[in-house]
Amino acid sequence: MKNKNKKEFFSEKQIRFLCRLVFGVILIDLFFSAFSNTLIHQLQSPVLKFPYVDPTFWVMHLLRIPELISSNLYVAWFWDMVLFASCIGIILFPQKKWLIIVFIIFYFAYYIIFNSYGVHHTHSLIPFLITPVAFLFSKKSFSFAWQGLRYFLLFSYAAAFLWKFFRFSWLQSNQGILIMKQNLTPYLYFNPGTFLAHVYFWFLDNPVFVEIIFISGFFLEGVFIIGFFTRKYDKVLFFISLLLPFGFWFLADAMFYEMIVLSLTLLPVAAIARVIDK
Amino acid sequence: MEKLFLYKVYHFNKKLFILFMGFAILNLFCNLKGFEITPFYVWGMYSEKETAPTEYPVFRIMVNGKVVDYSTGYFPANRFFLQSPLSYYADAKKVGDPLQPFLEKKLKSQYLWLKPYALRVLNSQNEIQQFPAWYEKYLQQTTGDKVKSLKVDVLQASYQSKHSIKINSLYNLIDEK
Repeated sequence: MKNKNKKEFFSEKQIRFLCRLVFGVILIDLFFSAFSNTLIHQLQSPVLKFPYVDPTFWVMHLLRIPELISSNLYVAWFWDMVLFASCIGIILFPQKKWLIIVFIIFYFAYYIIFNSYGVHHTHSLIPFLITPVAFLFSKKSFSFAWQGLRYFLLFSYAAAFLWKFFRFSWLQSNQGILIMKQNLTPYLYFNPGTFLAHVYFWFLDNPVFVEIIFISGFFLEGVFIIGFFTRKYDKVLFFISLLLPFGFWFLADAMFYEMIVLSLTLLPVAAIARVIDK
Repeated sequence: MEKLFLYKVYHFNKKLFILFMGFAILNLFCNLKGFEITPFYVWGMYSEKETAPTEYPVFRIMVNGKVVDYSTGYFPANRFFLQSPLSYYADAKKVGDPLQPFLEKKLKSQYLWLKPYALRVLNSQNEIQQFPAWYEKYLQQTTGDKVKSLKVDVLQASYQSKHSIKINSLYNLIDEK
């Protein structure tokens, strides 16, 4: 029974390690945002918003919260500083739940501002919004919340597979090549002589290989359905989850490296324990 | 049955079980309906059948007479903010906020109920007109150079054989001096 618990439940030490790991990655991403000129104070009071058909975005804009934060330089600076400070605070004191609550509230507003004023609802920041919630749970509940995140990851990839499956886009003969052209034309126009451009042009000349990549990605997303029935193949799924962002980047010039945070949930407790013991 | 995740959660803590079930059901519902309500996400990107356009738009951004290549050399999020709002502005300048016709099409008769609120969240003509000034400031933030002149042209490109992209036509989108 004790061994079974060891297999399924995290110790305090392991939870603290995971918390530091997750928020370490988030902190690095916040620095990336600073270099990307996408922290709120760097956005220069953006004007065009895109709430799409998402009621959460509508409510936030009706309350004028994104406008209030992004249009006042002092508030924007304050928001960015709290994001960094709370993230660093959590890395130093992972057991302080109020810091995690502060981070989630501030990151939620950042998430809305980034997607609404970026005028496209990307899914890249979702893992950083969802994963911290697990660390609000108590020691024993955390293991269930962590497993819940694992199912969230499985659902994300499985749903992506099913959307393509039921819309029959996987049967469309030139789906991959059209995605590639739609996203990479500016790069190929401005940089036709680079090594990467030559690689893309080669693929455009040999579209069957682009379709192979698209179909392989589609198939690999479908493989995540197995995870709902058994944890036996989690190591394989972990490897696939590291592979898929490269496919998204190559085919659609879309970076989804943030999903890797959720991929951690595919690692067994024993593997995490081994890392800590070392 | 005892191995099922939700079964274990149910026996561990009923409130946690309700929380997980609620989250799972709302996620499923949103995906079945195709409506995203943060944090219940729809993972349908690139699932729609792509249609082959005759031309692909490429933005030629000229700051102080020099081309800003937004397709490379910047962090991905920076490139996203240089391109995506600009692309939206190109549509909004022609027809007003493109979200409005989209909402009417997607929500059909339900849009009438939402219309008073929609007018408060859609971009007004005034906001659309403010875009070039904002874009200038953002380019200044990105490049670090004072923007004395800004010109954005939309190039309509098509693919030729033998590794080349041909510009068929162009039109001016922003011209600020």
